[in-house]
Amino acid sequence: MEGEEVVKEFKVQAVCGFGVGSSTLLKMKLDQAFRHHGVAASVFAGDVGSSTSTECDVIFTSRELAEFLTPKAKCPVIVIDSFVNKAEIEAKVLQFVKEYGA
Amino acid sequence: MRIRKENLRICREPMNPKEALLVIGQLLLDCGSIKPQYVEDIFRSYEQFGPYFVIAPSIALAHAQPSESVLADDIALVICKTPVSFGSHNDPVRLLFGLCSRESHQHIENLAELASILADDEVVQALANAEDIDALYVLLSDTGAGG
Repeated sequence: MEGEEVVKEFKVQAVCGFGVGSSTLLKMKLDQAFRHHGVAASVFAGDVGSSTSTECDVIFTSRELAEFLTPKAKCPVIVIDSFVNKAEIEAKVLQFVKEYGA
Repeated sequence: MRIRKENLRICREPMNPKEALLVIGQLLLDCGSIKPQYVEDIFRSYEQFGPYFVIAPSIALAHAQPSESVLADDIALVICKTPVSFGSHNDPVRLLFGLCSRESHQHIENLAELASILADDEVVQALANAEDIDALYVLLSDTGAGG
């Protein structure tokens, strides 16, 4: 089983109010987490207003913004309680990959 | 991106969320990094989206979008000796950061340094426990974010 297998790259959106502050911080942490688990992902930051009309496989965001996004999103919305907690972010990334990967 | 000494403040009075946001906004104003409109933008964000900017236990990162209200890229920090409740699961807040950038991509560099500091709980505790600006500045310098 070598060679030709197509590796799926997840499109991952980190969302905050404006797509420039905490979402950028979360984006960096998500980049690290996906890389750490060897999962291909392109992670980008988005703002709460436009994020649900941007195509992606999953949204990571804060608890407060998830309330806005979940009813509108066409993809899973995953809540991150602490944007600096590596263990939480890695666990939730792994959970997502298990559920939706391959 | 370095946090300058004049961008640090230690606040001992009890504050409600609006008062706390006003303190961090005023600090960025005093630094000459924003126009008053940016503080209004921070308020509006809080009213609209709630306390989502309380991004980790004890830590808030107040900011609005890059706009012409931002005069210089900057980071300020208020240590809240009386922790502030914003209505977040990460309450109460002891470290209140204020962030402003002229360009979106500039945030990445600024935040990369900040994130590396805040990931260390001992550092967060030490910053929150700093009793004066000098001690706070030394702590930040030790982490590489001051100076």
